[in-house]
Amino acid sequence: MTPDQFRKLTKTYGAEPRRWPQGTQEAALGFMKSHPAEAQVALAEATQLDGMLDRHIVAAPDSALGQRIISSAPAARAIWQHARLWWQGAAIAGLGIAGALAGALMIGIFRAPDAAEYNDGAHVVTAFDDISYELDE
Amino acid sequence: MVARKLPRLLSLAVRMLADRSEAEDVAQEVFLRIWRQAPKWRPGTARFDTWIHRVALNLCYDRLRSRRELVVAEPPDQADPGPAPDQGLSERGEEKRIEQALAALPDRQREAVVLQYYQELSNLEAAEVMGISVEALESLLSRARRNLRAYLQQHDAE
Repeated sequence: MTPDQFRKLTKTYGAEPRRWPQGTQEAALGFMKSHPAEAQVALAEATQLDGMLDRHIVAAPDSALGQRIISSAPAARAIWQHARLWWQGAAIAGLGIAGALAGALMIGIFRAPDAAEYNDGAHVVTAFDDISYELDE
Repeated sequence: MVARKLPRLLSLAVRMLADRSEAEDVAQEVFLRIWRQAPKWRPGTARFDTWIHRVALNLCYDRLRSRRELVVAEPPDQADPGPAPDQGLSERGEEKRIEQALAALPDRQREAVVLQYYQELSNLEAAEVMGISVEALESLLSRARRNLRAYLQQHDAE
């Protein structure tokens, strides 16, 4: 590698060998050993700019953003819709059961007394009234 | 995947847009596109990382374009050219200066620096994401670094 090529490399990719193209790393490291003074001049300039670039730090995403993204995922939405459907179904079923229980209760309260209780032939009672007087008549 | 990819995508968008809120929207949109495209994804057609970088950059360019249209349609109020009241006092001052230097670069130069330096893509990967040759990428990188240096030296002198 020539001094010109080394300068061009650092002006393009910076001072850190890990950022250099793989194919040139070996030759560039060899140049640094064989021409330390020239390499140092080129590296100093590139290191200065790298140091400035390194000061630009982006804060890590907060958990709220991560949650927002995850909740917008189709799978998450599908689970949510599935859960919503399940709850809607459960609510309808619950209303049905509550209605049936209420109906049963009403029937229990207002149902006719057991026929055997009054089955004396002269005493017929309905849920509406004692109709024994009608039979007597 | 969100935990693994989000920090990198957010960094890319923040550096391209210099606006955290917009960058977060871009990052979210990238994930929506990933999920939408997932069933159609065929391994081997393109590297996944390359593809999401391209998607993120396209979204950033959409926003940069709409900003320019807004500026043309409605010129902003004249900014105070003097230093900010807390400039030099704030620890963030230096970081802000770098952010401004990056923002002052032409878009393609900024994109090259963000991909190669900050995202740490290899020259081949960065060139692939940008859809250009390695030689063209190197030209953008060296001009970007020259411009950054000039901007920072000029603002040091002021």
